[in-house]
Amino acid sequence: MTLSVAESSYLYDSLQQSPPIRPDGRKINQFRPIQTNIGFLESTNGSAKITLSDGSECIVSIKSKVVEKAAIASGRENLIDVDVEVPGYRDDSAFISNLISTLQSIYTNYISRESLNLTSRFTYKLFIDVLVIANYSYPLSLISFTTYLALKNTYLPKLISSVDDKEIEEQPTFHDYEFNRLEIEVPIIFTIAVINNNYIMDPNAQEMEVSDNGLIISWYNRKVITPIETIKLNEGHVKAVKPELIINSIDLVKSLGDSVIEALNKAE
Amino acid sequence: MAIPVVSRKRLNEGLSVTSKVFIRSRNGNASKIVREHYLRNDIPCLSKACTKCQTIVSPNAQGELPKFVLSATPLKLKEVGPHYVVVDTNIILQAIDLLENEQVFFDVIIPQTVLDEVRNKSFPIYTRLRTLVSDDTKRFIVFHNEFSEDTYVKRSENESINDRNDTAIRKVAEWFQSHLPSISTVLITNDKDNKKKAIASGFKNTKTLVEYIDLYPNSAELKDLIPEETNFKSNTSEKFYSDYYSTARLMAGLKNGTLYQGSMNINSYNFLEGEITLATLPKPLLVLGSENLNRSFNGDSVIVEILPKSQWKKPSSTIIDDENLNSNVDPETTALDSINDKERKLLAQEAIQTQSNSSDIQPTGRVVGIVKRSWRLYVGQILSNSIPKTNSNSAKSCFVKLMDRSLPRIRIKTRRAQDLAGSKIVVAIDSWPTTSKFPEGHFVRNLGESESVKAETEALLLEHDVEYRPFSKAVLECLPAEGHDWKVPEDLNDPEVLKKDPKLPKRKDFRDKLICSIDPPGCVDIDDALHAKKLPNGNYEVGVHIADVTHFVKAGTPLDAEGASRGTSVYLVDKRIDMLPILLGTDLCSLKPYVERFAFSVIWELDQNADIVNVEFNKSIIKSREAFSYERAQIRIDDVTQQDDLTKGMRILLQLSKKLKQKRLDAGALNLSSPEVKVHMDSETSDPGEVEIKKLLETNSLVEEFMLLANISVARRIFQEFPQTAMLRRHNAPPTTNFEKLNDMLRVKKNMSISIESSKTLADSLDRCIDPQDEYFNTLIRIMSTRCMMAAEYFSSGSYGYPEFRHYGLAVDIYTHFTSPIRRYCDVVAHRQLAAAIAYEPLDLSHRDKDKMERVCKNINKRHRNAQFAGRASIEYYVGQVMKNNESEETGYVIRVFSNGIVILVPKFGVESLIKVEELTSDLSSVEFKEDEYSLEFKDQNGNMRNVGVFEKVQVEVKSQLDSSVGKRKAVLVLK
Repeated sequence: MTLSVAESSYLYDSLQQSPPIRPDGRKINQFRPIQTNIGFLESTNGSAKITLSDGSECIVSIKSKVVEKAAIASGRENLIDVDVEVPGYRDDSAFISNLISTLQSIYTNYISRESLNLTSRFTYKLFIDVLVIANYSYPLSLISFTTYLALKNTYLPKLISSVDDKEIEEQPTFHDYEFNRLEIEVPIIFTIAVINNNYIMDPNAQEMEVSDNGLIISWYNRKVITPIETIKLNEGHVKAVKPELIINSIDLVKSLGDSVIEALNKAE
Repeated sequence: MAIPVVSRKRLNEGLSVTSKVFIRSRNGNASKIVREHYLRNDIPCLSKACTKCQTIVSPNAQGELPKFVLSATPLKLKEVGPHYVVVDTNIILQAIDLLENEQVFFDVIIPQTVLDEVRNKSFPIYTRLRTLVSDDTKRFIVFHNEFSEDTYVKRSENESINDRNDTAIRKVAEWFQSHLPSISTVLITNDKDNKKKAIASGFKNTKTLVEYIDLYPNSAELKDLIPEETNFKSNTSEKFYSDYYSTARLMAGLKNGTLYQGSMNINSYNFLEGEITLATLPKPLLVLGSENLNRSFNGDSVIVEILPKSQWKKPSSTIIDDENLNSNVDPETTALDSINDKERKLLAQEAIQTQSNSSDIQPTGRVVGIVKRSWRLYVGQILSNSIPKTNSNSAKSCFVKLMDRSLPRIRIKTRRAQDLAGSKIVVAIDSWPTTSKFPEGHFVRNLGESESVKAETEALLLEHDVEYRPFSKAVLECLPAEGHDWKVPEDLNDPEVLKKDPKLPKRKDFRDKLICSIDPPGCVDIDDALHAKKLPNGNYEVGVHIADVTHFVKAGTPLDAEGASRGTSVYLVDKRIDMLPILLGTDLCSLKPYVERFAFSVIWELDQNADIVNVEFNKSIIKSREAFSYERAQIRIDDVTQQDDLTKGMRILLQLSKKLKQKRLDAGALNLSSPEVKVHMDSETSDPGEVEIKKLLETNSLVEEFMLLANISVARRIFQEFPQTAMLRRHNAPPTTNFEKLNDMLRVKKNMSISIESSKTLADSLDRCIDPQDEYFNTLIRIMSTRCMMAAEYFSSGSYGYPEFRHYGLAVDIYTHFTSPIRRYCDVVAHRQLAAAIAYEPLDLSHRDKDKMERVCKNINKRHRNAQFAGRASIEYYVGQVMKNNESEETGYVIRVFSNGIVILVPKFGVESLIKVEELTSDLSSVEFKEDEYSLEFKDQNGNMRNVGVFEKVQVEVKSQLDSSVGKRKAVLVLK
């Protein structure tokens, strides 16, 4: 989407006002409305879909596999594998690789190993498959919210063989029908656009186009966590971020985090 | 658990879809599986009394409508009146014999749920059930409840699959009751919980098997046939055996190499000692004592672990059978659970070392799991001392001693123990819980009085799993409609004939060749015929003509399936169990003299040296000039006055066969012996008269040599044409360990040895084993060597690499069976493959599919082995009968020495028997077992010290004695 010089100048000016005037009339801490859908992919262990008001849509599915802990420890396997597909981007493009590595590291660091633990020798490994069907704005928040919903609604097969197999090995055996809900805390990622002295939550496509810079801030277990990074929200037009804006943005996330999580937890 | 519930979705009128979700645990992984499941509304009840279902049925893919089977006026019984029966899975698994009984169970509804459960639990029972359903007489139907809109049951949360299936079965019963209110539906289940739930939900007609049988007027005699799980509920909770490990543990143990899987092989001299051949150990692992055998049967596929080193033992040198039963149980079996997998792995390495060092102490193992039971129907006899003395009307337990000595006795409950005493009976095994010392089973059928020919013959056929029932209608319908009047067409160019058999012009006309057959006297199924003549160039034309069975037995027909499953004809002393119906075997295929027959011919051009110059394969028409017995052929050849062309041809054959044999022996073919005996029957009373050892004439080997040559030629050709699926036969070289003991005995006793580097060295070293004082000694060594050899086996060429095709005994690189298609199925396949190779007809797909070929090979290998055992058992029985009338003193040879007995082979009768030490001497303290010398020293009845060693020639008194407790006649030998 390209704005004409007049359009972008107008938009930039209105966003510089105090308080900023956003094109869709939102406050700086206001999200676009989302529509959620959970557990519709039967053959996965968990799935979720979020549709944004501008038509952006993301589907996340969770699959599990039983692996030996030794394989994880030795680095032969990851505990969590993330795969992202966005139409219009090649798998090996910088955009996709950046998304994957951000998500991979945040989930690997913050999803607790105990929650995936099976026995003294085996653990579950999760595959998070992300499919962004349509995106008009930077999709990271969308993906992280959808993944949050999918992981929170993931059901893993119930182990019926013994948990202690360190000395006398046992092959994990599962109940033929019953599942256990995965009980974990999942991090989410907020996207904030910076325009001059202002910062706005959840920028839409036009706001991104004119923004000076972008920030991602992660939230986990009622705390702000890393990664906190700047991201390029448009081509060309980039300015440095003033340090106090970062502090302000973090404060914004702190004030919002709990209510966002609460809202997501209510999704069905 | 909150998997989103996809409810039913109607697709169109009469079809809706739902989904099934389950977890598949495989190799330690858990995958969630979702299946779409379609439900329809046109599944009929198949009752003739129903008016609605006739209108809803739709034809199947063949355009056939389902047949309504259930009677409109079913059997009336007291209490329930006219009724249909719905059976639960446990009834079928426990009492399939009762379902097959002709007096009870008519109009039976098998829910599909039950059928599936049965198939998962026991495939043999499943096939029996299928036969019952396809056979109309007892009116069994399968109701596909899982696909019916009305009876499909969704599994609810936290419900086990068994509970869900029980619900589905109850639903079927309820549906039938409401669908056909005029006929009552009875649900039969032995599951208490299921019964309780059915009654709770208002379905009153729920009965246990016993309650149902009680409704029959003749229930008293039927009750014996009911296996009851609750029968043997012992009040003591004493455990005789340890529990098997959980599947999870077994799988992990197999994977990490601390547990091993193999086939249990019980020592035939000691039923408390088993061996398991494991790929990881150089020698079989010993399993000693009933506690370590842990309820495994001979032939079971089991999982074992290696016991701690302190429990490693020598293999026993004692003979133990059921009589001295409880003595050998090792009381100090420490629990193994305290050892971890690391220690187990070390133990395994130590075991390998110990075995390679050939020390006395051998690693031993313990059975910790059973993968697959080899249980089948067994024949045995009630132990007379276990029959309860009091004559009450309630069922009492007693023991059945099985014919197979390597199996434990079976406990059954019966009311008729006294009637059944002294009879051969068939029993089935139900279970072997840890709290029971012996496996528990139930009575199935009475074969008749022990030692009667009928009972004994049937018993041995059953014991060796030989199918002896008459051929079914479907099979007989595949035979030519002309029956015995079938003829080779007179005019080969008649268009009518050609229309029926368009391949006829491809047959070669060999009716002008002077062909004759040479077989044992009285042979009616003549597979093969021969001819030979001198060619103008000085070479010889030799033809082997084999009955063209595949002209009548086409692939894919029921006749072919029956042949494939029987695998071989079985020859008993007085009876032949045919592989193919008698019309084919003894008439249409049999190459009888003076009539024209279709044949498959192999024609060689051989030079003076009997080397092959050329070989040709043809389907042909022949006319045998004469059918000789070996003896008559020999006489004719030897008679110099006979100068006709036929006799001259036979002389050529004889002369060439000697050259062939010499070449074969030079290449290292083995000449092994087995004590083959023949029982002469009194032709009038068919009582066995006398026993003789089979004599071999030159003409025997004449036929044999050319059959070998034909088999080899055919093998090469079909392998060339079908490198992946050619039907071949191979014979492995024996592993050195098999000969260890024999070689050691030879070294100690005779200072001789057998070399088994190659078949050539083996043949040569066997030739050197001669005792100048005893000409039988060489044969004895050959007999004992035969027992150390591997069995030859059928295989499909894709299963092994070319070097492994070798036939060790015949010393050829490739071999098959081609020459007896009437009595062996391998030959039938070889015929088809050869016919395809010469472009006579295309090869059926099943013979070009590697998997299918492997399955065929596996079956015919098993059948072949069973047929051999059955034949030997038959001879053994008759030899026993002969000896009953003739007590005599004979020469015997000691072939094994144990610490408490010796085994003696009597060549004249081909019997071997054990003499226990108690029968050798009255002074047991004088007995000394010299293990390293393979001898036993004892004070004989006259008070003189006597030393008996292996290979020793002894005089024995032979008589036959009936062991009345087991009804088995044994040869009893008394050392002179």
